[in-house]
Amino acid sequence: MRHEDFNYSDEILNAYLDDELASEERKQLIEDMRVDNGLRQRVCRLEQVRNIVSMAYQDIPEPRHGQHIIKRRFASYSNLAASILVVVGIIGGWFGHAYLQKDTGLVEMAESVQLNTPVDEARLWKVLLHVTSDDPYRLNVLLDETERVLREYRTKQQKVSIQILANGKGLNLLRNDTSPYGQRIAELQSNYDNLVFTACAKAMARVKQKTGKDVQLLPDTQVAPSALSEVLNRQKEGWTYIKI
Amino acid sequence: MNLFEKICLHRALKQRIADNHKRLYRTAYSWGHDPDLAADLAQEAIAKALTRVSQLREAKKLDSWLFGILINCWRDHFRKQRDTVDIDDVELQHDDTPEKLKQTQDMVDSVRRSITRLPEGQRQVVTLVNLEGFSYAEVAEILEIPVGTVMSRLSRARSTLADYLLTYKTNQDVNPGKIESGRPKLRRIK
Repeated sequence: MRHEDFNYSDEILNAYLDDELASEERKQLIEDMRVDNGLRQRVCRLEQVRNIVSMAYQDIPEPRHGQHIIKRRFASYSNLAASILVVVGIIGGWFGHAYLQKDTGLVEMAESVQLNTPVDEARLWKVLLHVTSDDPYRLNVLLDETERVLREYRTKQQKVSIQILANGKGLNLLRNDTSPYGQRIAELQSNYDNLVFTACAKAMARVKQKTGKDVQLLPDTQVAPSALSEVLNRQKEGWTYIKI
Repeated sequence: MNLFEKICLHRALKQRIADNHKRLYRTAYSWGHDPDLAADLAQEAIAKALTRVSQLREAKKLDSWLFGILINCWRDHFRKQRDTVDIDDVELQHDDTPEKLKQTQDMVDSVRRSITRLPEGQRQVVTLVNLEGFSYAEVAEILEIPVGTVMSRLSRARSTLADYLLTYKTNQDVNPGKIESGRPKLRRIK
């Protein structure tokens, strides 16, 4: 397409620089630039802008706060992404953990599962249960299954450590004002010191932003800076991860 | 596609999502020039993408899909945080620049300040095209605007930047605060 009197718009010149012109248009523009100094200067000016904008972001600062967390998080993404794999309905089995395979529903309703440690009865099995829903059925199954696993491991004198991490709507499980499970969680905690409940600080901040009130958690609930960083840290430490 | 292929595809996509962290961070940084906000947005975009990967219909469109999620996170952030800050309060972080790099560093600061002063739509287009190398069609898809709008925003953005920056280059001294003298004080939504 010929542009009369080399009257190219800036849009066309930018398209040329960004390699968006069809080859014929591009060829024509290059020819016109050869004979038109003004056109050349316009293109050069835009190209200079293009180059210095690229240059200005080649080296950008790290986050000021929580820098180490971000770095660690970033380093772990690839591992996490590579290993999170199983979607509801395609979990074939639970690699020998029959406790969760009975008529439970926990694995069946899990959104993803990542098994990091080989099954070895002598070793401490560390499990992170990540809950993001406040659906009563899911929460009931979660607590039932957790208790069953803790009880059976104790009976068989095997080692297990379970952490229940809540964020999003799952935070309601651990909120003093909304959780219908306060009593039950307190009993579980007093019976099993290898069970920890953790709330996500970011989720708490979001609730505060919405309601204007600080979130009060159930007693002995721990707080993690962010659910994602907690998951990544645990994953790095070899914990089995199950998202409910 | 059988089950095994499906799982492999999901794993590969998730890997690619994770690999995009740096690009997402850089883009979010170029929009707001706030490292902490950029880190949060990049993290949020990746977390959302990882959970929604099954919604991606064409694997080849992963990049534009991912940056589309980033733009939504950015918009959500605006919706929640309506407070504003003076544009002059925006600090650009540069630590211990060696003397010999001062001139380059001044230019970098100046470019970033100039980008900050662009209207948001122009800022997003110019950074997506310029920094991340997206095609106009991809940017149109990410921002959900027509390609013609991408072209006009880009054109206006580069023209404005040329006025700021190439003038600077000849004067070797620019204070973007002075560029706007006589106009009402610019504010941006944080």
